[in-house]
Amino acid sequence: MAIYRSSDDINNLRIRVKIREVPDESAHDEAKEVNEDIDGETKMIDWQQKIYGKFEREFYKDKKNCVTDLEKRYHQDVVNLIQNDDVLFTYVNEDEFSLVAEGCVSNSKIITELHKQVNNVLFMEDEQEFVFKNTDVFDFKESLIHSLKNPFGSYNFETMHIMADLGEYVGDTWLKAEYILCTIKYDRTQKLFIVFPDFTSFEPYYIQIQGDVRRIFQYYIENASETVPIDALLKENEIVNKIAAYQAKLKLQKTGINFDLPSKNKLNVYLFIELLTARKFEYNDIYVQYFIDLPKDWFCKDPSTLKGTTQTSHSSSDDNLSYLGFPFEICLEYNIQDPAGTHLIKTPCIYFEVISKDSWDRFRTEGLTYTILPVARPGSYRYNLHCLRICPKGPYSNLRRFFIGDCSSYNDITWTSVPEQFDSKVINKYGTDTVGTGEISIHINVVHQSQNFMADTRDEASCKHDKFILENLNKSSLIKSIEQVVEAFKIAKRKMIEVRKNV
Amino acid sequence: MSDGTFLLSLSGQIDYISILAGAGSSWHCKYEFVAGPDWKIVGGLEAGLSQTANVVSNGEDIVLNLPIDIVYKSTNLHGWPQIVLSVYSGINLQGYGRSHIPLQPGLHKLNISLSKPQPSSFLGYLGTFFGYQPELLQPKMLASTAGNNLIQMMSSGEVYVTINNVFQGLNILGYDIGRVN
Amino acid sequence: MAEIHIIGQILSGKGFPKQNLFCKWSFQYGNNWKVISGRKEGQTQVESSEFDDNCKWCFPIDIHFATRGIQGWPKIYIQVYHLDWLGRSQLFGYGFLTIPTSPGNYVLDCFTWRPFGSLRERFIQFFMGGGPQLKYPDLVFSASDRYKLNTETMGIVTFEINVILRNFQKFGVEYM
Repeated sequence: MAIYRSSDDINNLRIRVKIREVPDESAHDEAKEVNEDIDGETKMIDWQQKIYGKFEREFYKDKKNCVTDLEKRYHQDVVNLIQNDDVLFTYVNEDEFSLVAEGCVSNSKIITELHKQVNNVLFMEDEQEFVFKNTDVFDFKESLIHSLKNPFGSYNFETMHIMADLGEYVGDTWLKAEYILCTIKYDRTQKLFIVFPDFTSFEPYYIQIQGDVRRIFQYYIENASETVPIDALLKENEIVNKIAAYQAKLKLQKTGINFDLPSKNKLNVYLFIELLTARKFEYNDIYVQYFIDLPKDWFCKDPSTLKGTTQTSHSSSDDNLSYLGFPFEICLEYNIQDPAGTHLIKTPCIYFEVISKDSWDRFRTEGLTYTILPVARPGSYRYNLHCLRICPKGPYSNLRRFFIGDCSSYNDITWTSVPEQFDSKVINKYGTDTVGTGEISIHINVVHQSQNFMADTRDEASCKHDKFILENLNKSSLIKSIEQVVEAFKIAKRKMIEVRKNV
Repeated sequence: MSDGTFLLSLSGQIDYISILAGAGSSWHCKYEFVAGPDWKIVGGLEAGLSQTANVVSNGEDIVLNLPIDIVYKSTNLHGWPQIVLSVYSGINLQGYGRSHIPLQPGLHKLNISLSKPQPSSFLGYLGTFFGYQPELLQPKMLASTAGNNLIQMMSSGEVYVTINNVFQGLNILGYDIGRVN
Repeated sequence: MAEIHIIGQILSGKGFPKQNLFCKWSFQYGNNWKVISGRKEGQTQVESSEFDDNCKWCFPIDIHFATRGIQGWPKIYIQVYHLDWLGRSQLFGYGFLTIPTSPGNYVLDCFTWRPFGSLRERFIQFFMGGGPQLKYPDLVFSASDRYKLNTETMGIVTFEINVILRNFQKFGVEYM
């Protein structure tokens, strides 16, 4: 079965049907000879074109059989018709020929009722897009009208069957044996037509008749509609292109063609960080402070975004799970053309401090943690950071923490990673007592932007997913700057030669 | 395909409905596709109605295996097609569900939650005692992002759908749909 | 000019103290960004579930942005409300979700919270319903002023989001 859609008029549909009896290889030779001379029959059939079968011709010829207007009209037709022995004929929509196989017959009452409901609803012509049309206000009346106009999925099919009467004469009477070659259904409103079976491509369809002698027929169904002339096609294409161009223009008018670019030899790293949750901390009502430490060569246009504080979050669950849901956005700049050009990029770190605040405004440090920002590669990252806090030494500090609260009992938050002014060979944190506390989860989205990326994305689009920042910068900036120098030198040289020639 | 259009071809089936189904009840499901104004159906059917599936023992899944097959052509990603399902038991509505068609090519197993509207007036509430079940005039409205004015719904079950989708010409237009896993 | 399509759905809300929830959502974005088509705000239906505390809204989102810069990447701002049997709506949570910056299909959780009133306010809330709301919802958007807030942990709203980018590479943007 095939379903086609065409905005064209259905009357342009034309189908060529070819039927031919083929010899049955397994049968006896005598049968073969008889069938050989039949050349087959070909007919061009238009949509809803009535062709009378042998039986129908006999039937309608007799005026007594014709009662209804339709039958009388058929009678007129048949009388004027020249007799022939064609096997192909059609049943059109008006004939009300229906198949038992079509739509399985159900004996349950439910389906018939439903069937009736679906079929009884009005069906109107215009199919309008309701959903995306003035969606601001829900208008009950409009919705009601619309739902009456477009009841769900009810197709209003006109049907046409292409048949073959492959009967035989037994004595003087024609024993009819009608076979459906092809059924075509068309829905005028949706411009949809269903061909069953589909048009033949290479292999024909076969019909086998079991009788005294086995007979095999093969037939082809072909779409013989006139094709659209080529200049009309071109014209249509042109119009489509014009519309597309107009739409693109409209879009441009809204936003403009420009896009903010970082200045040359700068790499912009956009970080979209979300503080998601904090859990398992000792005290309730916590908030988180964050702070980003920028090493050499990194800048931030708005340094105030580098640190911040979340709201105080109260939790009522067992493991003190609190939702922070705190998004922030940072734009960092990295200067690519470093005079040294060889040293490795130091990556910035983000530090977190979790602090609890109780109803008496006592603040306690609950945990410290840090992570290196994933600036090396753009993408989306999720971290679960485990926190620690520095143990108060001795009973006095413990009591202090319990009764008065302790906060900022350390000098430098960067201590948790490598301290800022650290330049010895071994990192030594011995002598400090810490205790593991809870954990916080964060989500970071990283985007890079640099003019250096602009050229080389085109040619290596295939491997773009596995590039790292260092590789990129090496390839694009350093080598390119050398190439630029060479290029400039070449141009200068050429000019010089030209000037010389002229002289 | 230089004319700025791309094709989206979908095929698949509505596998089964997982819902509280009593023995002896009979179920059917209808589906329809909803897409934005720039989307044109070039092949297949945008709506369909399943057979009636009968439940023999309590709580079993209602297997439909209703085929879906549709081909879209569009110039714009906006209005990406959605499938809207309505599940009926007998002639009583049991739930609506909707989902976007996956935006990545390949085989996808969707599981679409169903919910059914609750009466919003006292009369409607009273009616539920007599088997009245409110329905939406246009199940398609679930697929619009317009406000649906505080319709009250109750989750009722899930429909499992297998969809195989293929794009053509999307990358040429410069769209990056991300890594396909 | 680069374009981004955000297509997806607000899947569900879970972990809220009561059922009968609806969710108001809107997109927040920088001034480089323009909506080309699609709605930037809306409201889901009221949803409840008989068997678990998972309200499955399955509400569609489909929006198309064009932008002149990366700054101000869109976020979804949501407010979850509870509709009680008297038809009153009561705030159950504010939440924020950053749209992922690389294309693909994501299932993301948005963690919500609501203002936490004083003892007296909570007492009234317990018996009468209602509860504190933000007088200036802008406070939610600014990272710098949030520390003044006292909040209470509420539920999780799950989103399924597809991000499709176009023309970003033309402007030297690496996102993946």
